[in-house]
Amino acid sequence: MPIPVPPPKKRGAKIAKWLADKKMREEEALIAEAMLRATAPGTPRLLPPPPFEASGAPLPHVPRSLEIGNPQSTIAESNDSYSAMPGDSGGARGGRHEKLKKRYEQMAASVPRNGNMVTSQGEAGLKIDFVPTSELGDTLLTDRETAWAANEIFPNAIMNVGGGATANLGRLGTAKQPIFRRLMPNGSGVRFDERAGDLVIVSFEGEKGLAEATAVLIKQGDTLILRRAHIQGAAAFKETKEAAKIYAKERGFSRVIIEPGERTTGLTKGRTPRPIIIETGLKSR
Amino acid sequence: MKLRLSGWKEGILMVSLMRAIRDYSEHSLVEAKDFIDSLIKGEEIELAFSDEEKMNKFRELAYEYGVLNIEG
Repeated sequence: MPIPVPPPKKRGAKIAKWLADKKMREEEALIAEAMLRATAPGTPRLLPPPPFEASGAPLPHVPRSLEIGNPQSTIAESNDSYSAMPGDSGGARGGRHEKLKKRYEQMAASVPRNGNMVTSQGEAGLKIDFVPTSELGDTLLTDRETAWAANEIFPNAIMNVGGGATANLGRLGTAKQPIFRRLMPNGSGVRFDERAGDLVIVSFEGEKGLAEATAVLIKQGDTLILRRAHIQGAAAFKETKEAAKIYAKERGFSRVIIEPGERTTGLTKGRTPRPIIIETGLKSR
Repeated sequence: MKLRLSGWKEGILMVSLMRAIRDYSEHSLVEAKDFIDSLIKGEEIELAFSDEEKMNKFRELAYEYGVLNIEG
């Protein structure tokens, strides 16, 4: 008579599920805390409504880029965002953020609107200016927390964070991510300055100052390839790798490959360095 | 109006140059990236401009950012 063999214990899967649940709980706790801060009474955050709103007069013309995502807009939403790339269903692990989406929507509902603009200034005093096109002088004032909600209202807008650094709170990758989740461990962030098709320009702050990078984004399953990458500015190699890792990890990629362009400095200038493969720490699907 | 660019100095500011091409010439950011990659490979590139003022401004910036030869 054969001895019955017990089914194999799926301990690895259980641990992975527990870790994923734990991460989700932590994210939710962070959001809840931020919501409390954002809605705390006595916080001098709102600017007075504009005269046109008080008078009931028709709203002034708003440039196209500001109308994107606005329910009052008659212009179809732009399709040129990174998440609109063929085969992109909101990032490699976009489904993980579904639960958080509701939270963002609640945040969006709580953000006061000033016509087509969000006008809020947070306790941290961090101001965000809209710079969707060069001729715009319109301003969005918000803190990092309300920026999440602003992102819901103006999903494709490019925003300029106070202090000179630029952030794109548009639909880059997975769910609409709050800006603080892009922050690097040293308190600075990987920020999206510009995007044109698959080409991006990002900036991040290293120990020696601001660095800018440009690359063409290519997705291959769980791997993000940064092709023809170039760095400009004061970035150490370690910091560049860290920025790429954070960028890819936030979008749910398990691996990022930097394919550098030709070197423009050093003894090997004019030559193309070998690709750099970085594991983000996420498990591949 | 066109400018022909060739050669680059060590430490050329590629991102700044990309932005300058986008801002002052008739080309997009994606085209700017292609142009600069060609420039780094040693090729000569030709940029189109809508007016002379923009072209002159770009010329100044391009030298500043590390382009060696600008003709046109």
